Amino acid sequence: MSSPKQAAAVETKLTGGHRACAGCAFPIAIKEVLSSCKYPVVVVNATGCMEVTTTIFPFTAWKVPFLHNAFENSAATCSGIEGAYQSLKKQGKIDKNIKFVAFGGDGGTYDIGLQSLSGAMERGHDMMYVCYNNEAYMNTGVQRSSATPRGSSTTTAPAGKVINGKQQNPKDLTEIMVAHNIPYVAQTTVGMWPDATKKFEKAFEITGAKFVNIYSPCIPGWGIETSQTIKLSKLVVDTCMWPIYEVENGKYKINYKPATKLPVTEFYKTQARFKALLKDEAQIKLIQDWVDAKWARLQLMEEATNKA
Amino acid sequence: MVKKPELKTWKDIAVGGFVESGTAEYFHTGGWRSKVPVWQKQNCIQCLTCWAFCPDNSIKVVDGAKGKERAGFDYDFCKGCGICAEECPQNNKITKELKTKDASLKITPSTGSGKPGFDEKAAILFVGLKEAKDKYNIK
Amino acid sequence: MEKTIAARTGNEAMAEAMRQINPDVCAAYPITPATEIMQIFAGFVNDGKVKTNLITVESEHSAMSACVGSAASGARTMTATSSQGLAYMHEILFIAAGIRLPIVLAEVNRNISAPINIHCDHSDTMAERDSGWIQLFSENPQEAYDAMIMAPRIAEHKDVSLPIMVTTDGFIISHGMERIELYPDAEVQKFVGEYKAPYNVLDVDHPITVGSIVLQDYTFEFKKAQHEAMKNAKRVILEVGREFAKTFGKEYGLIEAYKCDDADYITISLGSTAGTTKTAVEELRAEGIKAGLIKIRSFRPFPAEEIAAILSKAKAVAVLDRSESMSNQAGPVATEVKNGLYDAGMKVPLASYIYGLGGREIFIEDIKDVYKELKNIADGKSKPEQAKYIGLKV
Repeated sequence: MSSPKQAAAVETKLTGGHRACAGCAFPIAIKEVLSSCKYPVVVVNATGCMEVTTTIFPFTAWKVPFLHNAFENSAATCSGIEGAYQSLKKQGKIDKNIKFVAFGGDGGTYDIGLQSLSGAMERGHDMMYVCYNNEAYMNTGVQRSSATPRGSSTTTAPAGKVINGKQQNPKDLTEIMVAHNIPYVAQTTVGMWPDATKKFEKAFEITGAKFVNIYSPCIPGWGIETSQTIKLSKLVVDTCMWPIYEVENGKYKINYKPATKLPVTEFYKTQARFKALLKDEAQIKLIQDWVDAKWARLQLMEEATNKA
Repeated sequence: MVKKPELKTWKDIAVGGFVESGTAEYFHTGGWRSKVPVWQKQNCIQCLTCWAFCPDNSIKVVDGAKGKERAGFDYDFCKGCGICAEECPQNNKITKELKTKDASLKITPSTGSGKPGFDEKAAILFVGLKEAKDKYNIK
Repeated sequence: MEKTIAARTGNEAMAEAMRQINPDVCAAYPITPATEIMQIFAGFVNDGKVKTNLITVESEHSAMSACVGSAASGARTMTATSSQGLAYMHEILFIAAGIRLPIVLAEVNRNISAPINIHCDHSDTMAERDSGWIQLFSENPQEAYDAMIMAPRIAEHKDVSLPIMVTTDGFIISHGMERIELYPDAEVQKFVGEYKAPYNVLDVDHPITVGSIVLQDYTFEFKKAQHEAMKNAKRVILEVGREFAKTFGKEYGLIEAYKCDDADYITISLGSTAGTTKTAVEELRAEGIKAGLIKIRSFRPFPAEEIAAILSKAKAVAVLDRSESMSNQAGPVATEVKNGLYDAGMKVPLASYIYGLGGREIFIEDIKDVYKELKNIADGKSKPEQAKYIGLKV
């Protein structure tokens, strides 16, 4: 882990002048990833907010080589770059040690890009995939994704008179990645700089396919003040809805266990997307039970995988 | 710094439309601001938390005796989100102190500016455009 | 130069060319009838006969996506596919062309579902005619082999920088074994040369952004540059063809005009059917009918002026399309030919036919019937029909 002071000594890889919303989380995620890399790095990005706000032609905020291909294929595209690198390195045409990162939002990762991601991870390319999870399709205007939490109001699963927001729990993509038996899988959040940068630093040193899921609040999609990005990305961790953990070669480690586990409503009451959910006690109970069970399971997994 | 892209005709576009890195520095987003962060150097503890969490690369840093040190804001890019003020440990400390003294006080580290006792000790104030201009000479 | 005479299928010939070109990266996914190309090539990889990194992706969409990543990284990149596989690449084909990556694709023409059918027609390739790829058709394994050797030179030329697909007809060529002349590895490698990347995202010392979002202010200019590159491709295909002739002894152009100099009746087709048509032309000429054939080798860029020039003396023309465009007017090839004739101010009687969908065989007699119909049209005995199905059970 590098402190902000140490990180600030490294040249910033994403300039200002990008067009992300005020208070957007992903530029912070990018900083956490790229300032944790001691090597030259090439970035691939799925179509989404990150791509469309940072590369408006002829301007680009990226100071590292950057390639955007399409929405659902950042992992496959990155695997092609890494494949080229391996080939050229073997032929002696490249001597540098270069790292590869693919970024995608939850839509481009949990949903439309899942196959591409699964393929790249299974093939074991030496690359890191970073999902910046803001829990809906934000670039197209806040539609529900398979990462959207139950009861959240989105434009395609609105809080209506009969149906109150999304009716399904989010898919657990991090666990799906664990099932790929890749050397490193982690969950973190933009608001926990030491945890995030420690994980990215570690991942960059591991050879093979790595996956990190980083929780990234969205100002308009969540209906929050621009200043609340970091606060909320930490608050969610204290509810255990977004546990901070890593799985290294199959071994689970929960990196942060809240001293006091907060009820999920503490998180919900901070955001407009959960306004209608807060009146729906039955649904809240379902969610709380689900979160509790998942948290218990995670602790069991940690225990089970660390037995001698 | 990379050259400012100047494309006049279709012939000026590089093959496949690739662009040199970092040209967004020529696109200023400071005009988006509806609130303005004001750095109070005398109260700054130099932790660079604001640098870490600024989404817009708007915290200037310079070389100091103990590594990088915070300098002013880069108002060319700052969109006025207030994360810096909200996350500033010094602001959080003073907010906590004021709230301990007065439990009815409803402030956060980014909304405390102007409240008695806050401005004297806070490292980052988050103020309106008019106040920024009139009081702090920030446009 | 010592050429090796061998018997090869189209797939074997394409795989052989790939071995000789020795690309840095291939990313591919199996699909009938193109699977064999990558199977054979995988053998070359695992036997250490090539330096290629073969990325065995989980879909054609990812195959083309990985090819884009690779070609943008200073690596010569190839793939192979067919039919649904090409259709699944559709989205990324446009991107590869738009960001101007000279990827080489060995495409085996096969029917597009539904109904699902693994046999030849051109519906897969024709569906990608607007994708911005150069499209070359091959009459036989030799042409496929030769075109594969020319493909990197055309695609990577600095005035072009566009992806290219070299096509063969599914099963008819891909699995049909024919006599072929193979060239020495060293000669092929010398002809192809080192990969010339349009840009390189692996050049970490000179970082660039590729694939930016481009809005109303520049997308139009972007497309104009691509449009000009495709125009340049016409010239470059001819230049590379002439150079190929100097090295390997056989010249290729945009089209092949077969016995057209004095022809009254000309049919236009592409791929394997041109071979069948040549026999029909011979037989008709023996009967005293002045038949000719235009075989279109380059469908993209489309040689409209070249075709119009050859048709200027013809009494009647037929275009044989091996795919449907469902316009109810004509198949895609006939539509393009008609466009060219209009621009040339010509109004030669033109009949258009749809044939061979889903691998339906076309016989010499069928083609001779087309010529005989052209004679009737020229003699005023019948009117040219459009999008007429031939070889259909009626």
